[in-house]
Amino acid sequence: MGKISRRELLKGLGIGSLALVGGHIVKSPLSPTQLAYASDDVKWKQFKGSKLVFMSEDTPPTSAIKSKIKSFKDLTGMDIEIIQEHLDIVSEKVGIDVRGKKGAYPVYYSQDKPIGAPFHAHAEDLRKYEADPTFPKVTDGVGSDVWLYRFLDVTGRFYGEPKIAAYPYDNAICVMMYRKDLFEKYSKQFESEYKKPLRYTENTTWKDVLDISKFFKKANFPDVKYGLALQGREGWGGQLDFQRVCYAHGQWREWDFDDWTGSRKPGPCKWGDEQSIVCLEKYKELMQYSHPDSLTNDWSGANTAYITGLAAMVPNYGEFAAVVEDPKQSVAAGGRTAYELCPKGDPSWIVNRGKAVNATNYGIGGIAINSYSKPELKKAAYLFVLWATSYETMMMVLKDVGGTPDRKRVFEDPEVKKAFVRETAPMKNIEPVEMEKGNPASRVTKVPLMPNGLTYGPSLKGILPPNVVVGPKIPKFNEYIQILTSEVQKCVSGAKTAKEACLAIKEKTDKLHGVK
Amino acid sequence: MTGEWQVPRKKTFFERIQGAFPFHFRLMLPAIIVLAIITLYPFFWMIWLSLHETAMNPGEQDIFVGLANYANLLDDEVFLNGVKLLIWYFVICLSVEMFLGVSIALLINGMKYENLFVILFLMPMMVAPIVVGYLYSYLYNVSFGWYFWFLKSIGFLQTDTILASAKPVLGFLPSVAFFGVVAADVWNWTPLIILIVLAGLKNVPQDQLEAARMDGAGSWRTLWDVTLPNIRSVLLIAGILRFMDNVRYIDTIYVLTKGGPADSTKILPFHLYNISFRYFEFGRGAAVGFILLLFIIFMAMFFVKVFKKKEVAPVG
Amino acid sequence: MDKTELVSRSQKRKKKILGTLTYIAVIVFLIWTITPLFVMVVSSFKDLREAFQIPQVGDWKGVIKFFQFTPTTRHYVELFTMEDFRPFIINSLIASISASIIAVILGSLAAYGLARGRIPGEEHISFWIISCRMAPVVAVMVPLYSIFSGLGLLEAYRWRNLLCLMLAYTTFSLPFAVWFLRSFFEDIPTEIEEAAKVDGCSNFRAFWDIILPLAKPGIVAGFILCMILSWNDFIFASVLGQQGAKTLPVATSELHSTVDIKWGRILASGTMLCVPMLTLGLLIKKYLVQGLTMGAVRQ
Repeated sequence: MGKISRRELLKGLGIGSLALVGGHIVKSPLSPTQLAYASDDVKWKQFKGSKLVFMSEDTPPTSAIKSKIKSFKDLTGMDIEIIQEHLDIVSEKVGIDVRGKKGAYPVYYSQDKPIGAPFHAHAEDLRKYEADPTFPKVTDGVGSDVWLYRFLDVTGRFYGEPKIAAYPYDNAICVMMYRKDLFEKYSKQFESEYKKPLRYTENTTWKDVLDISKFFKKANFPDVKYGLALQGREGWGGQLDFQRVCYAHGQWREWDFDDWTGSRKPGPCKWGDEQSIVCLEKYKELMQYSHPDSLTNDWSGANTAYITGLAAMVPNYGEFAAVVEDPKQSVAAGGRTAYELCPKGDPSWIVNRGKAVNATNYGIGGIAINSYSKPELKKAAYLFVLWATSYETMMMVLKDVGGTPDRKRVFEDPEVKKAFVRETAPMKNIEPVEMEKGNPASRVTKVPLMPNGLTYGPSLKGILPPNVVVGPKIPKFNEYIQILTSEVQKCVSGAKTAKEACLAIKEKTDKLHGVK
Repeated sequence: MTGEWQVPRKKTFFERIQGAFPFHFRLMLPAIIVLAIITLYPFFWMIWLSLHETAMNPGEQDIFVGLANYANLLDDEVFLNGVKLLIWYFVICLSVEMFLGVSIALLINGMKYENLFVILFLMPMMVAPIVVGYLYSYLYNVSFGWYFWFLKSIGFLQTDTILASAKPVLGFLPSVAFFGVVAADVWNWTPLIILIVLAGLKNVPQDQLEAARMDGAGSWRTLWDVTLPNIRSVLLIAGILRFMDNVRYIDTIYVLTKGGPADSTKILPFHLYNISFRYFEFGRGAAVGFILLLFIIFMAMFFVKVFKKKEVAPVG
Repeated sequence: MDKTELVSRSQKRKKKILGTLTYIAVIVFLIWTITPLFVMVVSSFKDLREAFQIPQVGDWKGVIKFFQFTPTTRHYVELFTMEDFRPFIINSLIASISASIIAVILGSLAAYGLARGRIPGEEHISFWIISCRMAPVVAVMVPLYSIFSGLGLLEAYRWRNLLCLMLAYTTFSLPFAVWFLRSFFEDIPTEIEEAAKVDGCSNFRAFWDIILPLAKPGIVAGFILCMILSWNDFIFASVLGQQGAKTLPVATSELHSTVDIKWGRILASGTMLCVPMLTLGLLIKKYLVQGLTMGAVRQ
């Protein structure tokens, strides 16, 4: 047994060297002119030996990239430290960093509204790098058209400024997930009571959803207690959840400015008008018949309610399909779940003479460059941004951990197209799991290779007009959603009527924006 | 007999300094210096910051707004609600923890397995508040929480959920979710009270206890007249210590409810966290922080006065 | 004669009932204390679907479901392989131990000074010291962040971040140590120092050689309490710790990812967080208990 060198000992203790944890840059020996004429391969490797830091949300694409980071190293010769935090913490740290002008995170995850809307001014204008010939080209480039419908506007463009602050990196598009098997099982009972079949299609309205929830809650079956799981938590989860109900009915929005652009001075809001009150009343009713924790659940909590078999339906984000389809964690796996567009507005609930649509909202995570980092570091960061949002990387992520791609080309791939439908989706083998303990017939031996693919059919429809709602893009977004969800929760718990709550939202929001 | 009596010589400069700073004060200096550095600057910085409105975008300057940040707080419903809830929070938490802590300490004092009990009772205190948050959110969860199941099964819980219920208990008390958070805090920190009170009980002079027993006093009389007065200072220490932490820690709430539902667990420190780290309005945050600090200091001074006064009160 | 016998017998019975009630109360409290920890530890060995099993409301026989599972150490393994928890444990240890050492050293000096010294304004100084601990964490963090950033402690070097955390922890450990130890020093009778001084010791020697060893149990107890407070901190570490010094509580919170709350790993991590503190408590049990019985030594 030889002596352990001090280095090994330190390494073993995890202390390592005086490890530089942040980024550092190794400049290219080539001049810009030389680089401009070099091959793409050379361009990728121009900052070889450097190290970057990426502050990201704990989201599947980042986990997938983390596991495949070697391919980035092979391509560019750069190291990158990827930090994954909960979205709130990312928001906090990025906020503190840019407000303090530190630049400790050259690359950061810029979630469209919570982080992008307040801090876009602190992000680099990516057009500067697009025009720079010393950078390599990626398949299809980075123009507006290569991404899904207006995703670049959502993550990159704010308040009418021509600057592009971030490229789309991941997405979480809301779809309806429901237990097809339970619907079939209890169809007869439902029909005898409600005189309509127990089915979910793209024409199913929120009123139908309410009826189904009432049915399941009253029936109290042993294998499912509630019909619906909602996510009314304080903050973004609750705002998105309620927005789906509002927009479905007459495309109601709280402000009239163009949501794709956003507005720095939104002016007076429409809360308190008739439609908003009706929507809140209906939302309260929906809450009454949904899973009891719905008011405190966000997307993770709602997902847990669904995968533990306590709810038969849950409007949730596509990225959760990976968990839903995993028989080790979810009782809804093994073909029991189906995915469809979010519910449509019910005509009888619309009072503002607008259209009934399948209101779909989403969160598009962007990837941005910190304008306070050193200039060369920012350039190296752009290489990472290009790589992480490239077609090849998106395909790799998709096949690995359940990706959420943003490029149109990915969806044109024949393998991916097959994954839209369960019957044709490519599968992978897993250790058999018995869905029902003691019942060998219920054994599941295969799961979809790209489980999120099952949600693409509905989501690709949901992100287009007239279904999609992307607002409100305002600088004080974070405080606004706290006000909104606070009052909504007060109404749902019975402390205020819908009218009082809506008027309170209007009063506080207008005060927030300095409207007299 | 050579000069036993000598003219006292003049003190050297060094000795004079030593005289000016008595020995015991010198011992305190390192601690005072360290604390002053780490706390005085942030304190004044916070006051300075509270007089400004922080700029959101690069290139903008902070605007001096005087006392506007403070004045606006009177209008801020969430702030006022936060203050109300904070008072509820520390009153309920502290009374329950003190009562439980003192009772348990009294009960196990002198028991056969006292040491074993102490070790076991100490365990919750060793758990990080954030882990307590996760643990209790696991236990309170409607889908798979054992505490939820238990409370519902014995009929104690009327609502269908713990953490999502904003329903006021008994109509006027804070919500069910609030009490859920309180229960987690009580579980986490009662051991601290037990520990401190137990130490104090050991210090109760044996002779006084003996005297009481000789006089034929029953256990209640001994408790009231001998034990409790002797641990008064210990109770004060425990109370103040717990009070200070109780109004500062938001780890548990952060995980359990994030201030909801319907703002029913949004005690003032949590609102402060939102303002500073969600809305990034540091000026407003500093104003709230300063008020919270004053509140804590005044409450602490109040406690100390109350307890100190009792000591002076004539006996019998 | 008979009457007194009867009286004493009924008194004896009363004592016995009281004694049993006492035991019952203590046992109930014990169950309430231990249950969450028990659930956490046992559940950390369950696979996820099994960890989510609870019986129907009111189904008391269903409690057995809690124990029906196939144990797996998967979560613990994953903590080290997939999450790489080792450096976090080291970070937590370094930051808490160093902060507690400083706090206890400076704190015992100050506590002794406060206990013995007859300095004008002593109560005010004492109150100021403890009020340093009263500042709401969030309010203190922003200026502290800017100070540390100015000192370059937030640069991404591990040792700088750890130093930063250590200073932050000292801000709340030191006042606590002063206050806690002050009563221990006050309990030591002044006669001891006076005897020492008569023997020719200087002030300092009296303190160092005689008083300190007497106060050792209290100091050790104080050190442990400071350790626990720092080890368990989350807010400071999450903001000031940066990436270089991620501590265990911060790492645990990150297990609450967007897509799935990794309950298994959270429970396992929680268990791991508690174990060092518990073993510490067990190892130093003697000092802890001695510290608690400081007064008895006097007799």
